[in-house]
Amino acid sequence: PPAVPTEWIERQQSKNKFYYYHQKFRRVPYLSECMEGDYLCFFEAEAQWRRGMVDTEIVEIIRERLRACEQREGPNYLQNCAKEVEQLAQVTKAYQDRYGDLGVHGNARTCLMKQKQRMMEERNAKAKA
Amino acid sequence: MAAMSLLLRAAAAWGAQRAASGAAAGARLSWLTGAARLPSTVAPVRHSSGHGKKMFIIKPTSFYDTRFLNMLRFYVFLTGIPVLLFITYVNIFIGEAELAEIPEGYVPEYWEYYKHPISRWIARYLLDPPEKDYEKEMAILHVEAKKAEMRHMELEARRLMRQRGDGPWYHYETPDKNLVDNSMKSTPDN
Repeated sequence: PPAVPTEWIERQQSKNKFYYYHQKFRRVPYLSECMEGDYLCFFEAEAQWRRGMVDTEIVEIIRERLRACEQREGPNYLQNCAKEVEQLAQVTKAYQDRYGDLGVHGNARTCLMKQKQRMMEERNAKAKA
Repeated sequence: MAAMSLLLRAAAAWGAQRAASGAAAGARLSWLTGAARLPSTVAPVRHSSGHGKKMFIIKPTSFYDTRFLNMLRFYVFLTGIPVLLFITYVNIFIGEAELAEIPEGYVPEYWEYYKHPISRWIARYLLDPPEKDYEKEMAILHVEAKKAEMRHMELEARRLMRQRGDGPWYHYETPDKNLVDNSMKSTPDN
């Protein structure tokens, strides 16, 4: 029997229920669509980029899953957790490609430059092949 | 320092246990022993019911340390306990919000995006809506951008006027050439 009476607590809490919502933001023009010198556009694009940078949390969640799997399996985690390991490898590679070495001062502009670099490399690789 | 003395006292008590089992070592560091009595086998004494001879241990004062720790506990718990009780009350009787889909045609208030009731309260009554902060920041940026643009244009105008010399800046008023009296220079032999 639980030390804390959960049903009694739920009864107390259900007397006046209230809800919270997931905020939906409007889409604003990206940094690549902003005019040069339009600092307001830069600011909004930067805010949108920062709101959309959830990759850190994704990596954390996948890592937590791997740790949970390891805890569950015990000594045979190397064998049975292969899926989670694969997922973590994929997600970390994606994170590294997109936001990897931007550093603590990384902002939307540096990320855009990194993306441009990636696209150029892809194009060069395709042209060579 | 108080915590250090706690540590020393704990070490001394441990040492005293070991010393009590081997009574010969007690004579060396007699002031460090935590127990104020020797075991009854070392010095059998009347009226002590097997607890041994009661000793007067000479040690440095623990008055200031205990006073500090008591004061610390008192003042931390003075506001800490009401705060903890309040938070427990809020968590048990009011509870956290539930996640729900935004209903059709309903625009939630800015504090309804938080889960915990205390966060909601702070967002509602103490903080400004994030839209207001956003707009304030954009207003600052707008003003600064305008200022930077004005300064840039002024520098450009200065440069061009200095270069071309046809503007109101970078020239000094000289008197009209019709006012100049050339009679002194009009004949060669003056």
